[in-house]
Amino acid sequence: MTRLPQRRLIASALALLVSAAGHAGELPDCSRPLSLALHEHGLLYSRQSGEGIDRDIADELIRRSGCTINVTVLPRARIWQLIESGGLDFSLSGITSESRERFAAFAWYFSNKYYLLVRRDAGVQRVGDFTKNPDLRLGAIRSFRYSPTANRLVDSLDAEQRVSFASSLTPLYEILLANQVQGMIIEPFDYPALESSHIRTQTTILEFDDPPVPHGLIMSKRSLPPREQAKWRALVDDMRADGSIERIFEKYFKPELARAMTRF
Amino acid sequence: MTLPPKLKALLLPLCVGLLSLALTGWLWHHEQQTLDTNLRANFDFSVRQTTSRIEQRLAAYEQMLRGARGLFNASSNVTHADFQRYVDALTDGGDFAGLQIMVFSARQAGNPMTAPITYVAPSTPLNRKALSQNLYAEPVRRAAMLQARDSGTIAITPKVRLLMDDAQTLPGFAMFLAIYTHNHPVNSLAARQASLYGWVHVAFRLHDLMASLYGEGTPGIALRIYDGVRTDPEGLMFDSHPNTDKITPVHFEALEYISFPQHSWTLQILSTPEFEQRYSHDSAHIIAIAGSGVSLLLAVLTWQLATGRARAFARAQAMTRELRESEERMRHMAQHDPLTHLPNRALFSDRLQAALARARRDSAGAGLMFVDLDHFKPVNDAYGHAVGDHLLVAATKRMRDCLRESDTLARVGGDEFVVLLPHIDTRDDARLVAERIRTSLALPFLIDNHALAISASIGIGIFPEHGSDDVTLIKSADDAMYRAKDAGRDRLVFAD
Repeated sequence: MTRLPQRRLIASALALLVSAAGHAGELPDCSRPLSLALHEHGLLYSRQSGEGIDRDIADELIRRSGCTINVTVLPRARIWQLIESGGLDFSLSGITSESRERFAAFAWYFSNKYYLLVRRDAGVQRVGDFTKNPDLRLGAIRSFRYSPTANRLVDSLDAEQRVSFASSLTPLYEILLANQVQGMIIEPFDYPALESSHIRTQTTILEFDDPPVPHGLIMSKRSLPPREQAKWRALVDDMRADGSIERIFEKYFKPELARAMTRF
Repeated sequence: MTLPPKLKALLLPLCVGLLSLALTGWLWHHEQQTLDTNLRANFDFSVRQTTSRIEQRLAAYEQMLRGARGLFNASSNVTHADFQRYVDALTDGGDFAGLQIMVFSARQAGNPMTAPITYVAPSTPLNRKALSQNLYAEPVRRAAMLQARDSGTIAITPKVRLLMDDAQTLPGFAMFLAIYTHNHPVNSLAARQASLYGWVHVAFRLHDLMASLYGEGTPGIALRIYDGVRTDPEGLMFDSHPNTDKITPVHFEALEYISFPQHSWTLQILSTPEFEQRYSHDSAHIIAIAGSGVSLLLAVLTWQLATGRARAFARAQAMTRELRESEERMRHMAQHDPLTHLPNRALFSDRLQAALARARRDSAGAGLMFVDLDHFKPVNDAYGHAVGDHLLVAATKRMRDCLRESDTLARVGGDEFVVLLPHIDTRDDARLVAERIRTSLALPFLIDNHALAISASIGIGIFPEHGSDDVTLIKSADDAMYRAKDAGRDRLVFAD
């Protein structure tokens, strides 16, 4: 190797470090109150207790940024509408899709897999069995997206009018137990609900054959310019790098699962 | 295996017709699917819109309570008058037109089981009756109040009877938001429980909520709202079309669930016949009818095109045949007598010349006879032309029977005939034939039940004895015939 390319390489690496440091050190613009919406979903946020992973992450973002962020609780479908219109700056634990990429930016902080929770009496041994039986209905949260295979399942059943939508998970468990639907898609945040004896004895869990899907801070492209998005992304990256995210997850999951979800 | 030509001619039109029908069927099916998809998309949109409008209305109620919380956060000493002014300001707009009552219940420090209504607004006589009532004592409302206290957010009761309503009135629900002591921390469950100051609470009837929704409802969509996840009649809180059960069949039905802490609402959304009339149209039927018609036309057109050449060829053949027959007929008419179909003078003249030329070449003999029917005119006059014509035909037959195939009998006048005998060796050959004719004609005829008697005067000329050419031979024979007439008829006379 000649000396010239070596110098260039070092210079490039330094420039990159300086740039990254600049973003990392620069706090987001707090000249106006910002808005962040949570949605009720298992361990992510519970209205009953007012606590959850997303609540903790929101608090940490508020603390680190020093910004005034008004936190509200909205249905997930409403959150995506507001993110698209620019009426809301942030939400948490969102996954991307082709349509969402047009109006939302993301800062990933964990990933997880999706599972199909089905009634034992539905006779479903594999995920594919669910589609084949026209008598089976799925419960889903309006506007939710999942892993590719789960998305295909929801979309194909919806085309056959075999999906009942709800604004959150709670009624889905109820209608699953009432046998009004025979399956629903769950994530690790929903594990505590599965510990209820009613659900545990009547259901079984099937895994979708998809890799874990990254989740993150959702930023409205309409309300936050790219430079601000980069600053918030750097803030989330810092939270991941110093272990803050993993510590928050450890409050709700066993350490191994928290590690698996936050180190991806 | 070969197909019969008729079936073969039908095969292509049949295939084209069937193909066109199949295409029509596919188009009809596609259009039907597109219509169904559009109908479904419109229904889905209506479902989302309906759900979203209700959620937005609930969010507006929540904002109203948050505004009240803001009032209490802004001042540590909010009076009943302040509270009423706040609610009056809200009801100035039409957004909360359905608001029946908004109350503030203060927490009693010494008695945790008591939360009497302290402030009421709007201050109507009916609402003022609610003052001092202890909502905390009622289990359903207490559960929502504790929920609101612990979460710091909105809590909604299941279906309840409003404080000011009697048992007959329509069901309603109550919304609670906890108010925390001014400047106290509320960032944990314990902190929220410790800082509780009281609750603000609004009560609505479902019908008032639905009446105050933004925007217009979707025509053709029926909505029922149930408390809980079951669509039991007991849980029914609102029904936009009370008689929808009688409207069958329902094409689309969707169940949507709006969740609150501890319980949910079920939105049952149904399409009514008006929905389908509004969004569907008859294009599929038009395609089916027009496509079937076009298929039939195409099949007929194909049959016309496929069989056109064969049909034109057959027509040309028929016309050629007719032309040929017509030509034959004209030629026959030009050369034959129309009554007896015997050669006329012109044809006879040709044959005579040909026979004389051949006889001249072969140095052979030929005979020519002029036959004039005797007493024919009286028959004609007595019985009419029709009987005369029948007699001529019958006489012709008899003369024909006396001749060889090679001999020529021709009619050259009304009752005058000539006979050409192209091959004779002696004048006796001609005499023999002439005598047979005379004898034959001398026998009576029965024509139209009339017994008729005629005879023949025959003049005979022999080539080359009585004439070396046709003109002289004809003149000789003709003269001989007149001499036979003059000699008393019914005889034969040779030329001089």
